[in-house]
Amino acid sequence: MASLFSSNPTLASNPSYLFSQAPHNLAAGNKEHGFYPYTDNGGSTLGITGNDFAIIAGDTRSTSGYSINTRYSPKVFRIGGDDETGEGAHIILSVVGYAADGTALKERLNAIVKMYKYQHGKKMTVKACAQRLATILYGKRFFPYYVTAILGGLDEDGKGALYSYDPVGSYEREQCRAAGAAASLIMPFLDNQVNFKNQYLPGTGVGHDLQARQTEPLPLHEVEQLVRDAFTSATERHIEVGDGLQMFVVTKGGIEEKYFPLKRD
Amino acid sequence: MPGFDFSNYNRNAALHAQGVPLPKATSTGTTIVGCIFDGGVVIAADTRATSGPIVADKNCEKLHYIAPQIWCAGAGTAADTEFTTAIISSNLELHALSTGRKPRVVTCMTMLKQHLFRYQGHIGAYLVVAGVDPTGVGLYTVHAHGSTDKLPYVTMGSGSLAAMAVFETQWKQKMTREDAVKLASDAIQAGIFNDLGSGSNVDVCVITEEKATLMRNYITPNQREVKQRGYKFKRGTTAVLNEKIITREEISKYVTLHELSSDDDVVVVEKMDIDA
Amino acid sequence: MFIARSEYDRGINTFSPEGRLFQVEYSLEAIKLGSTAIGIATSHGVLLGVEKRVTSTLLETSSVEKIVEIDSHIGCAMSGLQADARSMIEHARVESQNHSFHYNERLGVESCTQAICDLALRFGEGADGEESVMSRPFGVALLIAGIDEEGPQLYHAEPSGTFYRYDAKAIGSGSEGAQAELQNEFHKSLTLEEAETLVLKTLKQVMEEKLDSKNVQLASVTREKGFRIYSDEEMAVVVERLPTN
Repeated sequence: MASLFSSNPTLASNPSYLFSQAPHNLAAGNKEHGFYPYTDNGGSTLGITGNDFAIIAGDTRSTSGYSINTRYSPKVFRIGGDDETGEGAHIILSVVGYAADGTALKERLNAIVKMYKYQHGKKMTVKACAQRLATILYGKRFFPYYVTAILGGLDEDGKGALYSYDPVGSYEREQCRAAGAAASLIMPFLDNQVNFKNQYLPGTGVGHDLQARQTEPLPLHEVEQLVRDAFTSATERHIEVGDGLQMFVVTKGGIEEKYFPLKRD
Repeated sequence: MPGFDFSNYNRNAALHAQGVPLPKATSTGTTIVGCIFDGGVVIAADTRATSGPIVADKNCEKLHYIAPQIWCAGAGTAADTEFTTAIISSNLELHALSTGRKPRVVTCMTMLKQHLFRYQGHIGAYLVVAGVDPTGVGLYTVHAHGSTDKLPYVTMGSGSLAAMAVFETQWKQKMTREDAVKLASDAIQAGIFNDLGSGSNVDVCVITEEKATLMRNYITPNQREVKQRGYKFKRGTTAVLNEKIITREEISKYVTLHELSSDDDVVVVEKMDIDA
Repeated sequence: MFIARSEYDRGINTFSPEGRLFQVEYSLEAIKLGSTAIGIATSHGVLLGVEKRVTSTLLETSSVEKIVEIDSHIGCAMSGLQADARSMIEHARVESQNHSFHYNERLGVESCTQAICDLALRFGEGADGEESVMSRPFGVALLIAGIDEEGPQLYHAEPSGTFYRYDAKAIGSGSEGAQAELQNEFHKSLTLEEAETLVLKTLKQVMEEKLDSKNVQLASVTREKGFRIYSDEEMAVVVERLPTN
């Protein structure tokens, strides 16, 4: 995933505190009026897939600057459900970054997935939904939805599928992905614990001959434990992460929602 | 010549102009409070230190010793609060020695503001000074630019609004020590839970005519829950690409070796907090 | 046959007191003048066949294009005003490309047919008097053959905007006789090769000219090769195979 916006001065050195966004360094007497369409609402999301499931989780805190807007603002949603509750959905989406854009994007994708079912008489596959989300995002190439999205579900073979995006629609199918404020804290943990990076099999060789530990699909309960540990740890070390952990698990049985409280400081 | 070393100033300014970012200081984006009561004064602080959005220290100490009965709560740039209070502490001690009197809170406050004013706000120390001296109870705030306030209850730092909200609704005149400690720690907790720059535990220091009592981690409302999984790796999981063994004989050519008979010989200077 | 239908003949979007849209009905008549086209859906794939009316010995028969590709998995045969089919097919092609651009999957055959039929009634003036693209209904019917996850499918789309799915369908001037023949001969276990023979045999019966490899055209849609128009050599082979009588 190309991170095209990491060098953006307003979002890179997050959090973008409200006072610092006001116009400054101007000659006396000249007042520049600006419109700042984006704010960073913090928080983090995380997705992991297994053989026959996909999990997407996100914390429920919404922030601006050093303030908490709310302790419960979900970042993970059911897509293409039959009603407001999302019942009957088979795809999940997480959005983190600018919350208003996140909501707008989720609403739009939801409407499109529903329309697809009416127009084509079949459920949209996760693969199709992934491509559609990319075109939605790229459609706003020059006024982007300021979000990092993760899309999840089961593919045509019933295997867990996860797609991650940058704000302008570059996407990739992956095993696991962390996004948002604490992505840089969580992702290395996932590399090590899900893809077994930097882990070698003791006694299989000397120096460069040492055999790397091979990845194996993790069972659901282990992945759930990893997700919870990732978020309690991110809560410890990132000020914008906390309050609650919301988790969506997609299996062939449907979508299950779970909630665990996180520290509120 | 004592003081700051400015020899790299021009080089750094040139680098910054070319786009090299300034180093990020650890700031104690903080909640600190102070409150007088009948017979003394209490100050309190949270224990979170941040570097941008990252928690640099989960249990740092923001209550600084100045004199036996003068303590200072610091917010702002961690290094500045640390050094400024240490310098003033030294100078106040010398002052007490040369005058043969107990140091006064107002003296401490004056020295702080003169020091900070001289540096025109570049020393980012925001302090709550409190203590009891022969003239009575003292409670002040000192801002980085050198301005000061003398008030019955004060708050500072990024959580100051949350904390002040508690004071403004619950503060009473002539409180008991217990009530004042409760009020101060409630104010800190308001900061801990509502200000992202503040977090973790509550430190309290109560100063009366008799003595100062530091209550480190007076309240710990943010204990980490036990992790779901263990993260112990089998020995040998990390690849060793090369190794070099330095023998005792070899190293003793350069340093003097002392034999340690048991663990009791190891002097633990300061215990380190480690996560489970 | 055409008794005085007076003013209700004119208004493109005007119902007659009996509840009919005459212009749409007339457009269906236009198809009956068109060359015969036949489609057969087998479990292996869909076969399309058309007669080319070679009106002159000087006509270059390869320039008569009555079967066209919509996408690699959908093709279509036409009967009626061929020029009208151009815009319908262009629309279907765009729709199919849009779908794969947006969804990274092939457009369904039914969805493609629906997309074409969505065009059918966009003639005349809009309710708010806005400009319309077309002044009259299409004068062409299409047989849309394709394959998707539902398997091989054949659809018939009319200028009225309605469409139905068929196992086998004939349109155009010889459709009545051809449809009766298909009714008798079609069965579910037809192979593609048998379908080739059946299409040509049926065409042969309803064509005025004598059928040869130049005045008919076949195309197929299969899972393996997608949409494909038969080459001259392949046509010759199939025609050769026909029973002579």
